[in-house]
Amino acid sequence: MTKYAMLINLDTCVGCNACMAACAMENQTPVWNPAKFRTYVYDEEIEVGDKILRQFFPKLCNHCDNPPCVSVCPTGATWKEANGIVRVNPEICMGCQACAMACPYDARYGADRQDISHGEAYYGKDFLKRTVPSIDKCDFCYERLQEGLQPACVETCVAHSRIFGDLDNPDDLVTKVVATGKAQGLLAELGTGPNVYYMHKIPEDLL
Amino acid sequence: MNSIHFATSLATQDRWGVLVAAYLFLGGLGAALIALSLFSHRYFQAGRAITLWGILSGEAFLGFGSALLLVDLLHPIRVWEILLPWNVLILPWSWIAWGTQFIIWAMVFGLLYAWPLLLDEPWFRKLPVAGPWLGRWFDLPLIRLIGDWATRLRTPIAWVAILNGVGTAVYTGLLLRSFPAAALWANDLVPPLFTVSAFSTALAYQLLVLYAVLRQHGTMARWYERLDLILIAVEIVLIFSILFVILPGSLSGQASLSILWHSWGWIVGFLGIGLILPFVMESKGTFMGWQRSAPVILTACMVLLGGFLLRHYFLASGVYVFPWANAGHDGVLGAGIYHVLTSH
Repeated sequence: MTKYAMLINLDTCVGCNACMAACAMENQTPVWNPAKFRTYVYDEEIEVGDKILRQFFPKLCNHCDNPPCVSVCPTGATWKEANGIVRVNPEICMGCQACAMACPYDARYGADRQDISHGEAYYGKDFLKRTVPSIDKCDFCYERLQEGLQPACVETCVAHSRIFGDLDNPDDLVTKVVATGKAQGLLAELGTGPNVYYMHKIPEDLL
Repeated sequence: MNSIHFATSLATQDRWGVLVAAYLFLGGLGAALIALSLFSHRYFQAGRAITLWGILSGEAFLGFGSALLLVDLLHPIRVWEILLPWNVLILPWSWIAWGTQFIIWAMVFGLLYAWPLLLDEPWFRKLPVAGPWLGRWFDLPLIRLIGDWATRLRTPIAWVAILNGVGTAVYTGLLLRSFPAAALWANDLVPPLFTVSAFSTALAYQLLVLYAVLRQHGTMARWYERLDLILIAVEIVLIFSILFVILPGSLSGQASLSILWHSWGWIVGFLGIGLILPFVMESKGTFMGWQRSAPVILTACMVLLGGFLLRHYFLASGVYVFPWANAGHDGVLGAGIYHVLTSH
């Protein structure tokens, strides 16, 4: 059985935002609204002692083992696949946004009618993937995976910050890194069981 | 050593606004009104007029509240997905799925219970223009048959409506409880608080009708006033328990407290006018009595205002703690507050 996960190396991310662009074009997200991305890279300045560390922090859906978004959805529009990917079916989503309220990672946004009409002009009516308003989120580029490809953000990452893998494969690099305990999921204390892992080694001279 | 440094930013939500707050308020009030009216009529000989006022107002509040939620949906037509009764069997973990069924069956069985009372109520037949038409409609054999059937089965009908009414009131709190990220919501005391508040507002509404519309100041009104006093006391205990439970806890809870204690609407509007003052006024009314109706009417209005403000401020004050900084691209509170966590 496959269990998809992503490893993000915060040390190597250069903040080029190519992942955001690739994701937006692949999944036709409403790029005209800065709050509506499936993945977003934050530019951070973190105070460590008397030093300031600048880092880029990519964020996306964590495809949780225990996803609160799935348990609140009243229509079954959001569900978890056997391979671990949490997906949304826009055809049955009524857009109550309870899933977005439940998500501790701010990984969901509502694509409304205005976004659909903007999308027709931006992406072309004949090529439009989204035709009904609904909640939207990262699905690890499910269609690309079906074709044996990597998620768009992973494939486009110039610094190899994003590594996609299968946690049920002991030989997978992601599995090996996660097993060392050097990578960490976000907000694990909430019991969500996130499957996006972050690793980061602070330069020794900053510590 | 492995050090992972996460910044922190705090954010309130802007997805569920005043429409959802009104839905939670009207849903709780309407459902509690139906449950309270049926229980009072069935077991405490409440009069036909106050019972009909309670049931029909409850139906109207539930219907209007649900319509507000519908307006807030991204794709309202899809709502039919959750109206189907077997939806709760497919998705038994979804509180919205349960809540929708609670609302539907509370409304259906509430109306069914009210049916024979409506047919016998002369007020409707005396209405100008519509009265004669309603009278003819009420006398149709099928309508009468439903009335007779509802009269014979009034006890099971009442209990189905009461249980679904209570379920709806509980659901309005459980809905928020199912969002784990904000400490203010993910609190086991929220469902009891919203349930108690729903019944307190329902009692206040019935007192308002009894004193301001029907002008009946009898035993039922006094019992409602006493019961409301008890519920307000429980609400005070619950609200301060929640605030003190989250006080020493997470950053999310502390940020929520900070928002609440800096909001005049919460302090003066909810705590002052909507909770403490009604408690004082109803204590005076219960133990010493009032010479006039005005204080009872005013108190009832204050309780209703408090019920709405409670839900509005609870929705507006839930704080997410994100493990990244500068979350300001989508509406942030306290962007630039950096908090370094180190794990080894």
